[in-house]
Amino acid sequence: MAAPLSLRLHPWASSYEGLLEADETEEEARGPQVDPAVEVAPEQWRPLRPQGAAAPAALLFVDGVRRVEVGVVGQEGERLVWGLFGSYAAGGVLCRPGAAQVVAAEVRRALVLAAADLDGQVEVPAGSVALRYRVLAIGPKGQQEVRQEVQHRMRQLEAETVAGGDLPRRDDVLVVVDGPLTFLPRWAGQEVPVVGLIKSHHRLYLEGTPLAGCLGALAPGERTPLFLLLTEREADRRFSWYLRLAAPPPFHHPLVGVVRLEAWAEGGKERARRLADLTALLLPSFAPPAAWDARAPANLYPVAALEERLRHRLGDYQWVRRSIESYLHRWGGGV
Amino acid sequence: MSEVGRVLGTDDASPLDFWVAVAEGHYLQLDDVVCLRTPLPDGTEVAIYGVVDQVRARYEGARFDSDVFRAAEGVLPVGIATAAHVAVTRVEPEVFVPPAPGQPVWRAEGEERERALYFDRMEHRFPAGLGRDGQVVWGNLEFLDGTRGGHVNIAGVSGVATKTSYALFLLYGLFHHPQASQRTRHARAVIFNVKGEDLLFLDRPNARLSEAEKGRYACLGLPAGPFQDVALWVPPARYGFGELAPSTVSRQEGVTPYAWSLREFCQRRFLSFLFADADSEGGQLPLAIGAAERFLAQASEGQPPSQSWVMLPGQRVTQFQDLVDYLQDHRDEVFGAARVSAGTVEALLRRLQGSVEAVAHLVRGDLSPDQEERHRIDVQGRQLNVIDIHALHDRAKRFVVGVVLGRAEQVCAAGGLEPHQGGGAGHGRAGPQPGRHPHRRPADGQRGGATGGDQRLLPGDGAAGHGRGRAQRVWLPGPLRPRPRQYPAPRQHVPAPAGAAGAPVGPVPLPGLGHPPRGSGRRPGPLVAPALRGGPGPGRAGEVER
Repeated sequence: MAAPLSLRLHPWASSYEGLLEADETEEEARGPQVDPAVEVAPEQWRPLRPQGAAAPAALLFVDGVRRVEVGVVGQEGERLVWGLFGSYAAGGVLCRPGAAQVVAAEVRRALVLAAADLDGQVEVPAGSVALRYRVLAIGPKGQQEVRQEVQHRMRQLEAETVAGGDLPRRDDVLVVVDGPLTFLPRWAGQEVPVVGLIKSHHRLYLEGTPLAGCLGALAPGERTPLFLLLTEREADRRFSWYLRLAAPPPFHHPLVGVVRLEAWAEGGKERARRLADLTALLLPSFAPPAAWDARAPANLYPVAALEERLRHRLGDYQWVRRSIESYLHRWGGGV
Repeated sequence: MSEVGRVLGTDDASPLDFWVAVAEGHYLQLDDVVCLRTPLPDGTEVAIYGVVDQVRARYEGARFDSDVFRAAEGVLPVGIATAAHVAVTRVEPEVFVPPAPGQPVWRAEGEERERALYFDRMEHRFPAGLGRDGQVVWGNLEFLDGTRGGHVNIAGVSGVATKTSYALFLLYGLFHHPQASQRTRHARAVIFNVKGEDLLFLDRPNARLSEAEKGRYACLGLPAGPFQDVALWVPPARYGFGELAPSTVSRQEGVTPYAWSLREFCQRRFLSFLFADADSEGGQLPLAIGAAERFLAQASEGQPPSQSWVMLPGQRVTQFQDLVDYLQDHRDEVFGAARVSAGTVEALLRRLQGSVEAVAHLVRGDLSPDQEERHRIDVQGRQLNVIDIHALHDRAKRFVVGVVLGRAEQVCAAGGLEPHQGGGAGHGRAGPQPGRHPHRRPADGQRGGATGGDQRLLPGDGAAGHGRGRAQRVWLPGPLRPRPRQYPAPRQHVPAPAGAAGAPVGPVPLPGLGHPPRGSGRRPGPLVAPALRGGPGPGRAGEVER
């Protein structure tokens, strides 16, 4: 540890943004152009209903949660050092016929600081335990980057879950990751088929084209033809498709119940097509009814349950926050 | 001891009850005994013991009842949480703090289980049965044998013999378990058989006892066998000559018909036992009964045990019917001294006539001295006495129960102790016979020769001769004396003397005078009646079931 850095609470920022789900919106908002002609010619676009495919033995749903417990600010010479106490967790639910179980769930805590040359951990006493926050110094950066660091770490943890060793025959598992694949490190998903499931429509890739009509015409269990996301980096290219999980009630927007999925382009078009068919066949049965979850049906049963479990594992927010405040008060937050 | 879980923190834990989250791979069932230690701020620990009285299991992570189907389909991941509710039995030392959530909870075994259920505090104990954990549940013998109490409440499903079976098991354990039999060696049990004849085979092995059940007896430390010391008393056949024959259907041998002589009936004042409900009839009937009893006792005084008939003034009476007829024919002499109305006398005589059919074969004048001795119910001879009354007329049932219990109570009282409260079969009756010694005949008591070991325990034995009045109440402990009511019942138009309260027993016509409170031992139908201790040491009546 280098020069002692005294931290003070920065309450406003954290309480305002503490549970905000940020970051993903931006990539989507300035997302790439698409090539709709990869599976069928654009003029032939119509909803596709797969006729059946060899189902995998299991589905692994991978998801993570993160939370900013409290924002802090320190003084390093003349410079303000932004930072935060954050917790994140990731895990997986393995669903086989007759049994769904949480096969992995790991919680990590970090004190992210926009400073250089710091490491180690701080121990925050919280009742019967001590919460250990690993110090992550990301160099002199802004508040935004500090928050994104937690997101990146969570994604890494998700990737570890995907690559983790607790799975049965790896080639017979379909992995469904919550969110776009771009956030996953590339090494995850080399061996197993991975699709990303994006619930929210920050951007409609087909908006303004005649193809959007096909999207509106989707019935439950039907998907659109594949389209290719033309990212600048070749390696980031993905095949994507829309899928309707359930019919929305009349008072919902027609797009409720439609999710977007994606698979790496480097796996090849045929593989992507097979994955698209599999998801269309399998995922609708995991969609909860509207009464079950506020984000139903897009928030699938296993994902919602896993998130609930993971959030629970993060600990009670008010209690953790209070513990950190006490810690900063008693020990001055020296790092 | 094995750890089975931890104290829940999501439900309140309190000093007397709390929830335990059951650890994976373990289970707790109802009646399991658990223990834990919870720390105090001063560094000491409080040991808390308890019994599981509720167990629940539920999904964690499910929101709706229908989620069970999602879980079964493999769509929704859920966990199963099992929790057991513990009712605290003991806190050691007695610092009543709630157990700290998170404290490990153990299944109490061995010494810990003994402590949890206070078995360690039981100096003398009897097996009450097996717990669901397969371990012996002990009862404190001192609360059964009268040292500190004498009650057992048995609850169970009605009509399927669960309670009877358990009462029998209890007796069996008391008499045959090595730990209990030491102290029950002199105890006697009386069972009135009111239904069927099954209980007449308690001295026989159970042919249907399975090996598994025998194993459970072994767990209890009990031999699996019949009662070892049994007397079976049955009513005699109504008709017949010479030897009394049993009236029972299923068993003829090994059973003893019971009957009493007319002489004893008179001398020992059994008449009122025919009127066990007399106390509920109010009015003057009790006075009339008392007058008749007094007359018969006076008339038969001194008549020798060699005769079972009775010589009444001017007539030798050899049948119960004749006795009733005699009272009817001589009503002026019998009831003259008592200030009872002619209507009351008539009512009494009507009832007496009505009872002839019921008890004529039980109270007889045709017994030889040897027969009288053999057929008189003596519950002191054997440990377990089954007295079959199921086929008797209601009035005869009451009579038998009354005579046996009245007799038993005298034995207890003679031991110098109060009989069990409420067991007042003899309350207010001028009951005592010279022969309170159970193995001797009434007349023997006239001399009070100290032959038996029990003799020394009889207070005032020498004074208790045949004389009535004074001597009759020598044996009655104070609290059991007939108490006049403090105030006459409102609707009784009886001029109660101002000093009636506590007034001596006399011909003051107060209602209910000298009769036991309701619910006394004279009420018909107690299935298993007091187990008696008649031996050296304090004799007690411990009621098993009422």
